Amino acid sequence: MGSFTIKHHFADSKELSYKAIPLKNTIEEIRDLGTEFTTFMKKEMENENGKLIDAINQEIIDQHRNHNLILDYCEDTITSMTNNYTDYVNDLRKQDVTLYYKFVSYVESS
Amino acid sequence: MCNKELLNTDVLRARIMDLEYENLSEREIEGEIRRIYFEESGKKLPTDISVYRSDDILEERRETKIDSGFDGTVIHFQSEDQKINQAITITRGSELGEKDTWRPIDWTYNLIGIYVGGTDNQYQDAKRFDDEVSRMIQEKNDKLPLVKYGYGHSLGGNNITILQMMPDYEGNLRFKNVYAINDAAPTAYQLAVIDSEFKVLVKSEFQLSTDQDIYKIPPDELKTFTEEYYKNKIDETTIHHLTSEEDMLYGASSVRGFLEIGGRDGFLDTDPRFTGIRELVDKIPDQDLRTIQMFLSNFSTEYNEDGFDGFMKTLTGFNPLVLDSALSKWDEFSETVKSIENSVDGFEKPFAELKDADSIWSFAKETMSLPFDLFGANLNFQKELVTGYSQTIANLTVLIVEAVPTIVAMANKIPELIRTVKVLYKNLDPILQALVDVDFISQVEKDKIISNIKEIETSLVEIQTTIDKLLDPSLNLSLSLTLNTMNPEEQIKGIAEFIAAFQTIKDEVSDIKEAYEGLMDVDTSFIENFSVSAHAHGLDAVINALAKDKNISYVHNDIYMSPSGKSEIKVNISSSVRIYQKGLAISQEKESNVNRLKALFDNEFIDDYQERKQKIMSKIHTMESNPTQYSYLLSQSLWYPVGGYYKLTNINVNEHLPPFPASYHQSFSQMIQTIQGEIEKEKLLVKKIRDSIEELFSEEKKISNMFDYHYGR
Repeated sequence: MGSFTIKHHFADSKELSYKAIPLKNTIEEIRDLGTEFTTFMKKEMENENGKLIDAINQEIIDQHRNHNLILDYCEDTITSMTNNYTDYVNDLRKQDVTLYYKFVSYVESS
Repeated sequence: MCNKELLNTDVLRARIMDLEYENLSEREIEGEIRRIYFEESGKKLPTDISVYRSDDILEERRETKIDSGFDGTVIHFQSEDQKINQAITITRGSELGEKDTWRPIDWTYNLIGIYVGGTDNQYQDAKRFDDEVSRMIQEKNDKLPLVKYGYGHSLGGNNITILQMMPDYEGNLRFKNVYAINDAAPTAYQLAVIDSEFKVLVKSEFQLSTDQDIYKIPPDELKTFTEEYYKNKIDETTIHHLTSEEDMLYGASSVRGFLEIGGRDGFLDTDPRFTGIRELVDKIPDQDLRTIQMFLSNFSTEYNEDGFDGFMKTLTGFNPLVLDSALSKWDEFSETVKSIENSVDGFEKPFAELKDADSIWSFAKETMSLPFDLFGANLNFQKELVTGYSQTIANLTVLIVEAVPTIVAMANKIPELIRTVKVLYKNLDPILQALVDVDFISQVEKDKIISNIKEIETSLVEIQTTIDKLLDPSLNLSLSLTLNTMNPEEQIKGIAEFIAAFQTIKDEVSDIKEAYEGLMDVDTSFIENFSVSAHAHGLDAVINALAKDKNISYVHNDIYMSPSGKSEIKVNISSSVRIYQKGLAISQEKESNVNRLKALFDNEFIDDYQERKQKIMSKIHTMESNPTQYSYLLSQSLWYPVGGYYKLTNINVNEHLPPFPASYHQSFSQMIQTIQGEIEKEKLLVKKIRDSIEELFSEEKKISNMFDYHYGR
């Protein structure tokens, strides 16, 4: 009677970076909506003036800039999350398997 | 409600008419109508809206006929519940240029169609459009009788008034009411072309033997006769005029032939400092006006056959197609000169001086001696120079060859332009002198205008001379010689001449622009009066005059309000509502994208991880339950023993299947929270805009409702 332990692969190795694409596309849609609103606001404000208008314009510019920085950061996060996920899934497929066996003599078996 | 007139105030009607000039899509028109109705009445429009555009309805006709310049829209309001079935036909006023051409087709119709009575093509298009859309509406909606109204501003006012004066094929008036704002009044000359019965009567009444004789009838007699005829023919109380005291068309309508049909409740005062140009126009003797009218009537045939282009060509000798072509050639030419300059610019010193024609020549002279000094002290430098020189010549030659067709085309067009300016120059002098005589402009102003036009003519002639020189084969530096010569010295000399010539043309064009600006800068009270008058003619001025006693004003069809006691503050309420609604709509769309992100995260990572884990667990279970199937694993690790074999008896998987890492959840949630925080800030900003406006106008409940009413656009 004997036993030994091996690493067994229960699935093939995967490359999962494509999983970032739909998430990044959605981030891009959010970015486009932000740009659409900023452009819309600029057009609405181009013929107006006054302190309030200046303050609103500044606020819109600041918000748009911050928003884009945040979305850049989100895209980076998604990229690194997806890379880590690939490693994680590939680790999952490898498990320790212990095999137990015995010696069977041809004489005994006949 | 029983089909009561929906758009029941002057300001509402004027604002709806103003939409006609904005070239909006059908959906945008619908949104704007709902907005304007709500802003003016404080109530939601209770009907469905359908929009019919003349561009679509008359599309087929326009493919075969000349463009009359007519544009119009029919707005159909319908509600079975409210028992409303109304259509408004809006005929658009004069536009300086049409959507897709610089040609002032509308203004030509004002002159030839209305003043002279030489064509009726806009009226015919308006009639066809109104008939066709009425038929379409009635086919679709036969439960309630259709009530029609007609709106028109400026030339549109003329078209809509005449549509009402010409009953439909059943002999009925087309519209329950017609509203004409600052309209071009109809003329007897125009009606004689449109209305054959009237023409017969005029001919018999005044014993006319030719069509031209109508211009010889004393204007007052013709006016009285025509007004009496139409006042008996139709119910003129259905035609309502709304006119600015300062309006230029009203000012001009004191001249011969213009009629007064329909009612008018006084005048709008759009500019208290100014009384209009009628007094000035009255100074023009009727005899002169008749001469102009008869002169222009000679060109009606060309106008009817070939439209604006035919009219202009016969009147001035100027073919507008030539201008189109010259403009496009000029663009091509400017591009080529730019490329040549860039090509020259691309070389480092000592080639930088090549840009000026003189330096090219000095450079050429210096370079020409190079082949004989190849073994001299500056060998490397000269080699470099020769390579650079050859490349420069090659580039410039290619560019000049590309410019040849443009130069030839310009050579063909410029003489025609010069002829036109000469005619203008010749004819303008007596016209301007007449204006000096009646004190419309001063002698100094007249001289300034003439000298600027002379300057334009001189520059055009200079351009022509330059081009002729380039194309003349008998001259040493002609285009053909430069391109064909094998002599590098001649070649360089020729290229230098070319660049100098191009520079001359560019300079002359700048002079033309300067002279044109000089023309625009001639500051006369005459022009000022006309510009105030032209402003008063526009619907913006009318709309503001209609609302001037309230804390309300309008710009580009947006409503501005001033808080009570603070008239110096004007708030664009329409824009604020749009910002609020658009801001919230964008935020909502962003939020739905955030939800999609969450769903994608669940699907692509959490569920996916669980699924993969499950598959592995299932494989582990299979392995542990059926160890014998995995006997091959033994042979991969153990040698075959002597006298027997190894038998796999059991498999135990020491599985390590951790849950989905919490750190993923954390960083994703943090990301989502940050985006949501930003969206909240945006929502807060648009809400702050709304709150501050509501605070400013705390007494106006209507404003709060405006923010909540989504008219859609």
